Amino acid sequence: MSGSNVSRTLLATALNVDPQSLTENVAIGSVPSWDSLGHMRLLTEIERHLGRDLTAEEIVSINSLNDLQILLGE
Amino acid sequence: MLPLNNRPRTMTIRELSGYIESFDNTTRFLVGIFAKPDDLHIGCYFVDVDWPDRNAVFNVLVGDQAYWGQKVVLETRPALVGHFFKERGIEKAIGLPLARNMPAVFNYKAEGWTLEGILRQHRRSATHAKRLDQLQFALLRQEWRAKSQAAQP
Repeated sequence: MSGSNVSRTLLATALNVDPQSLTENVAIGSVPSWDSLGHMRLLTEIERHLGRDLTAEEIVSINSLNDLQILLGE
Repeated sequence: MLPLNNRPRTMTIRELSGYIESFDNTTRFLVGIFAKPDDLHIGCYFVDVDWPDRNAVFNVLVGDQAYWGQKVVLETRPALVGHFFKERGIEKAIGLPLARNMPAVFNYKAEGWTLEGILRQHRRSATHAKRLDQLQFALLRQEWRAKSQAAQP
């Protein structure tokens, strides 16, 4: 994975949806599959991608695809 | 039980009875969560009230894994919090999940609670030497009232 596709792919994998179905402004509460377990899968996917645990500040910062892109420096 | 930072343990009936009796329905409340339509007991809320400041700390456990990811907390906590705001005079609801309890963090965000702070290395881990960060989320009574009014048709 590379470039701006990384965030979208991580989120789509966690939510088990087609990456192309995710709009740019997708956020918590905007899609049914982004539930508590989907959120946990997302954070786990991010940690796997980064190869480290997320900090508490990072965990609470992720509310949307845009937040994820910022975290990953995209 | 890592998200709750508790080791699994067994209790005798007497110990369990004593634990339940420790909830006095004045400062400590134990509220069951039951699934419809069969009234299956799937979890509990534990509410600790600080009456001088009219704060209440809400903790929840959904023990039946078949109900994890089924929006049980999102469906039930607003009603319970609303009861404490409306009927019991609580002015601030507080949630204190561990930072790595990711489903709990999600639920507070999804319900519109405000993150008030990160309590750094606030808890000792029950399973390893590392200390754990804890979060404080809160919902004020006026915020709950505004949300309730906004949700009215």
